Amino acid sequence: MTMSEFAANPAEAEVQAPRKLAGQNRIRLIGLCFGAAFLAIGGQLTNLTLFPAPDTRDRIVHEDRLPRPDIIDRNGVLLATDVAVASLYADPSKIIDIDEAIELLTATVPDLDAKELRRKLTTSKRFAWLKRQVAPEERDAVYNLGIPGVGYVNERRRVYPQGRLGSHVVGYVDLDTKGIAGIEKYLDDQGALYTASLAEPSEHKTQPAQMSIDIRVQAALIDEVTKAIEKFRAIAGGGIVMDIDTGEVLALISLPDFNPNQEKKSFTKDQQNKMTSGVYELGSVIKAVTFAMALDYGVATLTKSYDARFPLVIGSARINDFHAQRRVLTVPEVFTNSSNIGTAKMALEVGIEGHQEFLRRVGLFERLQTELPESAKPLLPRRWSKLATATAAFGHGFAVQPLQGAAVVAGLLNGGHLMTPTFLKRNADDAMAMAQTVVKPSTSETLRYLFRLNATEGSASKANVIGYRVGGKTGTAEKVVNGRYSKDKRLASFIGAFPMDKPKYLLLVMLDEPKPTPETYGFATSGWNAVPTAGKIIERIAPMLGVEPVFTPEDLEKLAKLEKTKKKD
Amino acid sequence: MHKFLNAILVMTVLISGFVLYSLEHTTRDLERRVAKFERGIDEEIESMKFLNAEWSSLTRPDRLKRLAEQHLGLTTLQAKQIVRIEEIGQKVPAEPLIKLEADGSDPIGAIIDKMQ
Repeated sequence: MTMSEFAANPAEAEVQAPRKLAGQNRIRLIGLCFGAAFLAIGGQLTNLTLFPAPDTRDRIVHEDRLPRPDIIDRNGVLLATDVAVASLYADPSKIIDIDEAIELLTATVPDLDAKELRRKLTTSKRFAWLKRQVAPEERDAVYNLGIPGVGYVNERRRVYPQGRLGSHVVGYVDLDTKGIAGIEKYLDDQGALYTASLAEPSEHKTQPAQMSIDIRVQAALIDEVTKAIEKFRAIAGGGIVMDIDTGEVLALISLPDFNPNQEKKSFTKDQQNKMTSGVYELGSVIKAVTFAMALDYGVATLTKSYDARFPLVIGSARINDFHAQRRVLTVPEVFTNSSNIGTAKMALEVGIEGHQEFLRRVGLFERLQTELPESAKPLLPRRWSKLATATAAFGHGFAVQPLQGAAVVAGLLNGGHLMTPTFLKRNADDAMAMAQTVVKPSTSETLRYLFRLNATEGSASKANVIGYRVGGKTGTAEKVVNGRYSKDKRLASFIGAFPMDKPKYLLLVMLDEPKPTPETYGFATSGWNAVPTAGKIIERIAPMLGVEPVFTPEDLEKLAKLEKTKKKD
Repeated sequence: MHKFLNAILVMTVLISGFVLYSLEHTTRDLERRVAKFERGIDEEIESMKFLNAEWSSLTRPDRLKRLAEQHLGLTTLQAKQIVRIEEIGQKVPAEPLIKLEADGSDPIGAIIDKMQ
């Protein structure tokens, strides 16, 4: 059928008209569809050009680990950072001539072992590390050998520019940059989320983690304690500097220490952090706690006296004084003479229950947990008898982490606000908000007076650096050897604060088994070794910490006298 | 009419094709440059990190102390060496220091001598 045939019949043409119309409609419909499609594409094109959508696609992350944040000290000095290094690897299946490869590799990288290398290259595995973290020159040398199947990948390596200065507090990471000690482990334990929260999304910029440590103070502490260990032939030593208003640890050292940059991290037990992971009987230093307790309960006042003429006998035990005075002592005298008898009597007056309650209040019954993962539980007497109270009063029979001892004394001196020490930067308001009030402000005031008195005329006088108003308490504890107190193995310690008119910094110095020297006239007690060391440390760190020296007329007189004797020498 | 329209359309296709091609070319070139700069930035950041670490290691307090003692003869600061700025102010001579210096004397040295 053709069109002309239809046209010939007018009746049929009339029928044809709507069909033609139907065809046109179809074309229009298709046109409309196309138009709509073009409009949609055009519209979207304009939309995307004008308002580009953010890229939300998943990307391949090139680093297989989360970037570790840098660690800086309180003044922004870099303590730990990541640098790029290369690691050499081999794909044994691609190596054509193993003998030649081994020969070339051992010639270029001297510390590769030929036997070990052969073992690695003859396995059926498709991947083997040859050497991790090589220097750029070594990497280039190996690359230039052009051995098929030997290549390198860029890795990050953790370095500690301050070396051993930060050892225990900063800690270190393993080869896979996983934190395994110190604040590095803390960063990991906070979870990947915390580590990443310090990192900016732009990947190469990470917000550093700021510690409360002041590396200059840390260095001074290490230097002086090292010298003291040498001089008094001690087996170990340690020190802590704390800001007593915020509980921030400005420096914490434990000697012998280590260099976190060294490759093989097989450290001995001696090298562990004794300030937090070891417990020690701090001896007379603990008397500060007993005094605070007796003063706070109102049992003792500064004008009260205690009879120290005879040894205190409890059951079969006798408590004696090291520097026996054999007379009645006033409370300040009990403190400055470090009388065991007087202090024990004071604790007995408070009573066993009261004593335990107070020790619990200042947290000495519980493990102190700071950001450092290494922490030890206090060692308490198994049965809390009358004798236990009497000896615990002067620090015998119960052992705590030195850091915990420092934190408690800091709390007693700062007005009675006990706060958990921290290794991260913290301001005074935050610290105050979380602090626990343990003693009355007046008790703290009296304790400050006793500390200062002990430094001006008591056992801690060798730490009294003129001008910096030092106050302190000494402690010499006999060490327990095979379950008995040893007579010649001692732990000498000093705990003090400065400037005493408004204490701001607390210092703890500890020497393990110092020996007597001719210079100390045969003494090996704290006053002859730990105390002068503390004096030297304060002389060095006080100007760094911005403590202004103030001289009274008596101070100036003393200084003039000292100068004269120096000139004579 | 149709021929004319077609000719214009063909011309448009050719011109837009050329523009598109040259645009793509410049874009590729720019992308290459961006990548180069980004690589450069990465390298700079890496070397900054390295230099920061080196700086921190070279300014270690114990190293500085050793160097200061060896080459400058410095020792520990004594408390009495610290004075308040007002105390210095009292000992400054009335005449301007620059004038005294021009005259050949050592005014700052004289102040220090006086303080001791």
